[in-house]
Amino acid sequence: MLKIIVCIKQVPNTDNVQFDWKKGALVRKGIENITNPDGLHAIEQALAIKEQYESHITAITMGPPQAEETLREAYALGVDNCVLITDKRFAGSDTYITSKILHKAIKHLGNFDIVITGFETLDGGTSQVSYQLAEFFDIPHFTQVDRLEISGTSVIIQRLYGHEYQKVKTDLPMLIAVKKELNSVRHARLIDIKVSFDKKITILNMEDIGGSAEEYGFSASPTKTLEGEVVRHKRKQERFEGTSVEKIEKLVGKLKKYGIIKY
Amino acid sequence: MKANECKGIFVFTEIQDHEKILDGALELLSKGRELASKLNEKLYAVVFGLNVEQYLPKIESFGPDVIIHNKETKDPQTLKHYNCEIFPDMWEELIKKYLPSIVLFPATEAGTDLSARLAQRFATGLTAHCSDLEIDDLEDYGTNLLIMKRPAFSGNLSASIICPDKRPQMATIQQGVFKQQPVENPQKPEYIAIECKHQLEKLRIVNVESPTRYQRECVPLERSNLIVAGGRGMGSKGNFEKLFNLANLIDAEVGATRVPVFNEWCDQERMIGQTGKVVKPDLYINFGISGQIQHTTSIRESKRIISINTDPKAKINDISDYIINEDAVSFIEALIKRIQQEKKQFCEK
Ligand SMILES: Cc1cc2nc3c(=O)[nH]c(=O)nc-3n(C[C@H](O)[C@H](O)[C@H](O)COP(=O)(O)OP(=O)(O)OC[C@H]3O[C@@H](n4cnc5c(N)ncnc54)[C@H](O)[C@@H]3O)c2cc1C
Ligand SMILES: Nc1ncnc2c1ncn2[C@@H]1O[C@H](COP(=O)(O)O)[C@@H](O)[C@H]1O
Repeated sequence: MLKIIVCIKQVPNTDNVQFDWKKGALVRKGIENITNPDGLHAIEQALAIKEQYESHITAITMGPPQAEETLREAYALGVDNCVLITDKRFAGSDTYITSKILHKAIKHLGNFDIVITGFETLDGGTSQVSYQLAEFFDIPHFTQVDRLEISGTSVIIQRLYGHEYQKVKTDLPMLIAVKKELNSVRHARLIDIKVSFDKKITILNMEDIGGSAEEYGFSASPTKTLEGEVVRHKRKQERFEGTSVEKIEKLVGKLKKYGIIKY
Repeated sequence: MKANECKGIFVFTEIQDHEKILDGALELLSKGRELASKLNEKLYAVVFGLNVEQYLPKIESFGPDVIIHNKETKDPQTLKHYNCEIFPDMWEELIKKYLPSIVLFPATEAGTDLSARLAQRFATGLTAHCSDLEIDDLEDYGTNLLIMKRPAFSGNLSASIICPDKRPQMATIQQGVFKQQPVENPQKPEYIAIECKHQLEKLRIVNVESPTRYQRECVPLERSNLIVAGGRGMGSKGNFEKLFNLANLIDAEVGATRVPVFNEWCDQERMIGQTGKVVKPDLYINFGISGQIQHTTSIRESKRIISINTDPKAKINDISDYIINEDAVSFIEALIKRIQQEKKQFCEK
C-alpha cells in the first residue's frame, strides 16, 4: 500500500482582490477563497496513482481554521484522509517556515512513500515550498512528471527537465511538484460534496508537531516584508474621443505615424 | 550564517543549453557589480559547465572580482546541464567557504531549484521574482541590507522585502529586469577552480535511457518591438484568437496576462509579468487588461502603451499614452477589418 501525502493550500482568488487605500490593507470581505489550482492538479495526480496502485491518500493544509473548506473539497474529490495544520503561532510564516511546519507535520503522521505538492501558489507564487520540503526530507524532487511506474520501492519516471525529456529511475520516498501544463491530469468530478461534510478532519497544532513558539510564524521567518509603496507611472494618458469609427481612424493614424502600418 | 561574518556577492552564472551564458545571468552580473561596488565588497561569478573555459572571457568583461568555475570533469555529461543533486552540493560548499552576504539567481527553472534548496540548507530567506534590488540601511534592522522589491498584493503597490538577520540574503530575478552593462577596461579577476566530486551513476536519480531533446515553443516576446496583448477582457478563447489575426497583419507578437494563460486561451510562454516575461517593445497595445502591478512592472519600459478597456477608470490607464474606452472584442474586429481594407486598397492601386 502506497502512502501518499498531498499538500494543498487555500488562497484568496487574487484576480479579484481589491486594495483599500484609506485603510492601507487588502479588502478581505467578499473575496472568495479557492483551493490553489496547482493543488487540485496535485490531488488529481494522487488519484491517478491510486487508480493504478493500491494507495492511501492524505491531504494536508496549513492555514487558518477556515482552510478546512479546502480539505472538504479534497474529500469530495476522493482523498481518504484530511489533516488541518492550524495554530495562531504559525501565522505569518514565510516559505522557509511553512516548509518546516509541513515537514514536521508529515513526520508526525508517520511514514510515507510519496509527497505531492503543487508547483506554485496563486498568492505567494514563489515555487519554493516543494523544493524546501524535499530538502527537509532529503528525498528526490521531481517536476513536470509525465508518467510514472512503481514497482516495490523503485520508480521509473518520465519527465521534462530543462530542455530534455528524460526517463529516470529513483527510489521511494520521493516528492513530486505538479504544475498544470505538462501533467495532462483530468479534473475529477465533485463526487459528493455533501458526504465530504461528514468526514473527519484531523487538526494538528504546535503541541502536536513539537517545537516552541519562537521557531514559527512571523518572528521566526528569515524574510520580513516592509510597508508597501505606491508605484506611480507617468504617461501622457491621452484619451481618444468620438465614435468607435473615429477612434479606429485615430489609432490607424498613430500606427502609421509609428511606422507599424507601412506599405 | 551570521550577518557580521559575511561579505561579497555571488551570482549564479547560468549556462543556457550548454552553449551560452544566460542573458539573465549577465544582467545579474551587471547589477551585482553595481551593488558590490557600493558595498565595497567582492563580486563573485560562479559558473559550472562543460568546457567552461569558453565562457570566461565574456564573464570577465562584466567585471567580477573573482570567477569560481569547475575543473573539467572526467565524464563530460556531469556538469553539462544543471543537476539538482550536484549543483546544490557544490554551491553549499562554496558558500560555507567564502561566506557571501548576498546570492543572486536568475528566476529560471535551474535558478529556482538551486536557490530554494540553498535557502533551506542555510535556513535563510529567499525572495522570488524581484523587480528591483537596492542596498540601504534601515534603522530597525541594520546597515547595508539588500532591499528586495517585488509587487505586493494588487493595485500599484510594491513591497520591500528584507532578510535582516540570516545570511546569505538571496533573491531570484526575472530575465530582462536589469540591463547588461559590460564594464570598461575590466580588471583581471582572481580565478578559483574547484573539483566536482560527484559522479552521475552514483546519484539517486539516474537516467535509464538517453534523454531526448525537447523543443520548447519559443516566443521571443522579450526581443519584440511590437506586442499586442490581451487579458480577461477578451472574454473567451475564440475572441483571444483575434489577437493572433491582428498580430499577423501588423507583424507583432501576442502577449497575455495570467488570466488567459490560466484559462488556456494561450500558451504559458506568452505570459507577461512578475512570473512571466519582461518586455520593452516600442509599442504595447493591450485589450481588456486591468493593469495590476504584477503585470505592469514588466511592461513599464515600453516606449508607448495603448490601452483598450471598457472601464474608463482601469488602472492600466495610468501607464498608458493613449486610452481607448471601447469594447475590446468589437474594437479589435473593426480594427482588423480596417487594416485589411487598407492593405487591399493599396494592393489594388
Ligand atoms: C504572486 C503573483 C504573481 C502574478 N504574476 C502575474 C504575471 O506574471 N502576469 C500577470 O499578468 N499577472 C500576474 N498576476 C496576476 C495579476 O495580479 C492580475 O490578476 C492579472 O494581471 C489580471 O489580468 P487581467 O488584467 O487580464 O484581468 P482583470 O484584472 O480581471 O482585468 C480585466 C480587464 O478587462 C476589462 N474588460 C472586461 N471586459 C471587457 C471588454 N469587453 N472590453 C474591454 N475591456 C474589458 C475590465 O475592465 C478589466 O480592466 C500575479 C499575481 C500574483 C499574486
Ligand atoms: N500553507 C500551505 N499548506 C500546505 N501546502 C502548502 C502551503 N503553502 C505551500 N504549500 C505547497 O507548496 C506548493 C508551492 O507553494 P509556493 O512555494 O508558496 O508557491 C503549493 O502548491 C502547495 O502544494
